[in-house]
Amino acid sequence: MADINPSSTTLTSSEPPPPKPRATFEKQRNIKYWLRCLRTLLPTEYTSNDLNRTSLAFFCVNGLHVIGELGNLTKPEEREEWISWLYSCQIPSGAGFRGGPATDLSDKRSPDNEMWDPPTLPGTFFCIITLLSLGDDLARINREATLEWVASLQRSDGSFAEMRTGAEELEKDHTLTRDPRFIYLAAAIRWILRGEEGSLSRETKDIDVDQAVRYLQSCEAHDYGFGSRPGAESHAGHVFCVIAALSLLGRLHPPKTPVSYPIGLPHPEKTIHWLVSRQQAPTDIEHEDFKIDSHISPPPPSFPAQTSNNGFNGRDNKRPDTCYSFWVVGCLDLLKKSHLVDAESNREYLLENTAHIIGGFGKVPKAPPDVLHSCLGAVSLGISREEGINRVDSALCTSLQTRERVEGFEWRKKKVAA
Amino acid sequence: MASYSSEEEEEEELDYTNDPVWADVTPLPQDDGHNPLAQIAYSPEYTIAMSYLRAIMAANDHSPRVLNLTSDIIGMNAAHYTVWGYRFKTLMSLDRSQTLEDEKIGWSWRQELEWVQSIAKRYEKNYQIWHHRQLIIDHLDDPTGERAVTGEMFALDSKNYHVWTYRQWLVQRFQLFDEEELAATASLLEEDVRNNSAWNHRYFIVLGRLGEAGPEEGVVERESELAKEAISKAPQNPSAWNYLKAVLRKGGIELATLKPFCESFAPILSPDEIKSSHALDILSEIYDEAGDSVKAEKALELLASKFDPVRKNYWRYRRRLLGSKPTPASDTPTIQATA
Repeated sequence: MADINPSSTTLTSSEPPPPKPRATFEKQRNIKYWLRCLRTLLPTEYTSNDLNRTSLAFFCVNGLHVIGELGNLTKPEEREEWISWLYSCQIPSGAGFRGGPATDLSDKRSPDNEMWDPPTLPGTFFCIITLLSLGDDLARINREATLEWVASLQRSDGSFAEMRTGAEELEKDHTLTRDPRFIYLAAAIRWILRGEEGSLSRETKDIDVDQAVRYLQSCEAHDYGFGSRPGAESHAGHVFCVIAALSLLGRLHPPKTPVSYPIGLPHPEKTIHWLVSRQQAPTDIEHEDFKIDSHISPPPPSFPAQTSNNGFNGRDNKRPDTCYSFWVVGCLDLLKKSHLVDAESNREYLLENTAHIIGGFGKVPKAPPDVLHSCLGAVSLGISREEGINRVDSALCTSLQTRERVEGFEWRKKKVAA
Repeated sequence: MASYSSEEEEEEELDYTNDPVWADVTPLPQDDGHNPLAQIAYSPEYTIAMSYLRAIMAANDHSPRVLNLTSDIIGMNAAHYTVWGYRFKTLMSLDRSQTLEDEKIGWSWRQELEWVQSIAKRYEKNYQIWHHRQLIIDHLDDPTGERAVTGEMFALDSKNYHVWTYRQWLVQRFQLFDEEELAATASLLEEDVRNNSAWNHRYFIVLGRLGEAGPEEGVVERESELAKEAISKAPQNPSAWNYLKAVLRKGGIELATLKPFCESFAPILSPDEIKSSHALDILSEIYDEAGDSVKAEKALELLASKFDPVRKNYWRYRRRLLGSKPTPASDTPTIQATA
């Protein structure tokens, strides 16, 4: 348009289009989502998580906690009742928590049947972190008994059982599950409850850290990611468990001088390469036949690939998914390398593609929100210091404040003789 | 007594309160306290069945009716690890007393496996189902038909992690590192050359056997040719590039031997002809190892500015690392490739 008045402020075709408004984290919607999850029933579809209901409790409480509103928007009586519920999941001996009340045999529980109502590593981890988020000081946990139970789950190769069950005697060594998730959970529980050496009331059996590290290292795959066991395909969820476990065991960063014990990732730079390679934009949300649970391989990205809306996938040639925005960026954060990803692009993926109109995040674009993805989406944004979200601690997947509270507990510190 | 078999009957609701089979059991309801967290809107059927399960477990009852109860619950919550364990223990106890296959119970391990497969197809993303299958096949000590069963699952989702884990266990347990297994991965890759699970499995079969000596003669050549062909079809496929690099490493062949191959996909002096960011990435490493920092920098800059800008921070980080190659790890010996 040649005749346009150059002093006019009206947009014309000769001017560049206005920049896309930057999406924001809709805090009010997320608050509403979490309060609804906390105060009303979760839909029937969550029945498949019934045996790990404490993980749902963790996502709901932690979700509101990392956006900084748990203490403001819930009543002290409510939090006390939730704390009581969490402690009701602790087994009577005080050595660990069950995954949820579904197996609680209450007054029928006896030494003959208690193997069907066992404490589990996930149940114990999720209850402890949730208790901490709610302001509890863990005084009702028997630290020595819990730590010895954790140590009792370790096998000679360094891996951990998820729990002791009544069907265990029917297993053989090679049918046992031995993936890095359970080492991570054991390492996290140990980090929280053990604290400095000598702070326990009696000598308490510890886990074999060297063997645990060796097992984690052995899960490295041919492409330098890590899988569920030696030889398994690399998977970002397992990579997170490996890196976070090493971090909580104090074995992630080798010192400058060589040491005689196993430490670190076998090939840290190569694993960093694998991790940053996870960042990718969805390639098929505009397709007519897009289905959120489609199993067909997504079409490959264009070449060169777009720079906007890049989330993270969990394996090569898979779709990006909200939770990997945490599993991957969390790993890089622990390796002090989170600046190597395109945080703005990840932010676009989360806030423009998977954030839901009713609050929370879905697994993939157009998916309804669920508590896992809603929590992990927020924690991922917290790593890159999103406004409205607290500082977070990637190793424990919770607020930095919670980690600092644990570090400040007097009972974790070595008693010095007066 | 009701049959444990067909799917139609399985859908039939169990009537715990009126069926005389359950008359001696006092259900044990769930105690959720005053204000629980994460309360789920259970279906009434699930609530009732779980109350009977708790009562049955409290009594360590492993009688045949447990098969009905546990299949009922699994149909509503297939991720119920306790109920799977309880079912397996019951099956084993019936098997040991040699009553599993008698007329009264009329069940068999083969029927159990068929039922398990029908559940697996309904709940694809489930670990417990495959662990249960693993325990049964281990007990029967017979892998017949099991590769076909996993094949059915791959037809639904060729990247199903749980099924691949089971397949790896099967291969290891029954030593199936054979032609059939190799052909299965080849056929999956034919269907979808970007199937990373199939590439990983191929590596596991061909080169990943633990505690084994170096690869047999010709294997490294055969496998690198396979990867190169796949790359020619899809130069942006990371799975094939990762496989190629891993095969060469295992065969003790230097990365530098890939230089002409990579340059054919990424001629850094003719950026318009570049077809693969992965080729550029490997070339930067090859140039760096050869001490050609100018070319190495050029490759990384092309990645950062044009061919993989979402990772520009990473490629610039790599540029800063040039010339500081760590010594090769002890598990990756490098020997000169023979012509």
